[in-house]
Amino acid sequence: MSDEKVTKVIDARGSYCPGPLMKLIENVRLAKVGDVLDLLSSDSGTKKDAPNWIKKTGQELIGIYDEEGYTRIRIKKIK
Amino acid sequence: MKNIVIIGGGTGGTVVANRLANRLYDQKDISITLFAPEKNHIYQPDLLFLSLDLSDPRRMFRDEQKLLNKKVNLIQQPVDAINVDNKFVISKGKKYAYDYLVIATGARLVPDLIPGLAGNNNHFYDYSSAMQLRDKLRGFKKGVIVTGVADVPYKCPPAPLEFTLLLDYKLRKYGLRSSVDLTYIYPINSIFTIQNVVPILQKEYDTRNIAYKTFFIVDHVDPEKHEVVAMDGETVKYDLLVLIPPHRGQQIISDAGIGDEGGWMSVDKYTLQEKNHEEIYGIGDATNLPVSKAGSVAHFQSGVIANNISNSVLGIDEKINYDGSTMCMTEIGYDKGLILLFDYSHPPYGLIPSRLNHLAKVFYLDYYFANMMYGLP
Repeated sequence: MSDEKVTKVIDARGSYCPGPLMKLIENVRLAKVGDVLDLLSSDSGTKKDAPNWIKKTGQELIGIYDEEGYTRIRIKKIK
Repeated sequence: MKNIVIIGGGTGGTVVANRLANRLYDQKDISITLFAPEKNHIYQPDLLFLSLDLSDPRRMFRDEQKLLNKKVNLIQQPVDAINVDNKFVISKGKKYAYDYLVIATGARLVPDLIPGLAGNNNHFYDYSSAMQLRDKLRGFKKGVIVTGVADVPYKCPPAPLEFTLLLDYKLRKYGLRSSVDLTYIYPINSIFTIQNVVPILQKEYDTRNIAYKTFFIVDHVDPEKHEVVAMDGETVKYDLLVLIPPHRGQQIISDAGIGDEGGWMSVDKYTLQEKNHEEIYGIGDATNLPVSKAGSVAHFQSGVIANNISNSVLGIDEKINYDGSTMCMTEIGYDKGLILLFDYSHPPYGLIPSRLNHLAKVFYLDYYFANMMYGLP
């Protein structure tokens, strides 16, 4: 796992896709350039949707980490 | 004397007030106070129909006082501040102490978050805007109408999609569809949030020749060029723009230190209690829960909150949890609709468009007010 300092953890566990993605979009708009966000999702669809959205919007995907019962997706706002 | 204070006279605030009054009707030393600044309660789902000239503006309003149980003390003014440490709220300079506080302040529209949106956009998320849109659509005969969502989260997830499908239906009825192009934009990688409904709705879009752009994250609106510009530079041209404006929580929540950056209140997803103050509950659109911002959610949550507060007041050591229950009644035009029911553990089912579902939505207004007044399930 990367050792960048996480600015905010978005806990969307228990929410169906695209609930986690919606929370990510909302928080990326609110975040400052340089902020690092961790999205926690228990929905398997997020593993595909979130990286696609990050790529489409030109943000940086730092990593996707499988945790117990959920996935942690780390993103950096770069624009 | 125990004081229960509720802030907000929308669906959540009004229903929870009445349900508490019903459960505590014989308790003389309980005060239930509802702060609801608007004289009239509006049935918001009808704004969709109003904007498309499919409803009468007189249908959707009721006097808030007349909706309330007599045990509820209605104060028709806003709350200006919440002091969570000393347990009181301030309204027009006066302090009101509480033992239990229910925050039902809803969402506010903030079009200024998207540069160029305010003044160039139309929507149906408040009464005056819905009426203005209705009037513009009455005279719209030719051009491109762009519909969709400017930002997330927003109230009533199916609403922009319903608007688009009903608009298509109406334009066809009036013989105008061949001269009006429809383009729908949406910020995720499909046209709707609930994935097992998407194939049904996408089929409607494809069959009816409604163009759509997904993963379209609005960056700004260029009114000179009549363009909506996405974060990745993609553009779409419009003659009439109908985007759901950005929503945020209320400032008093942020000021009280119980909200996130968006002004949404942080509550436990099951108990609906504020994370650090168990005497404070959040309901409906005001919270940051990963559930739909919809009246049905507030309705289901009101039962949990009324039960748990009244049990606490009465010294009954029993609590129930909110299970994520949500109901979305989704119109698709041609007098057909879908009713989506789901919760934290179960995705939506009952996915067959039908006339019965459409009629349920049309007549739900009467049930809504009856339910509100009498505390029906």
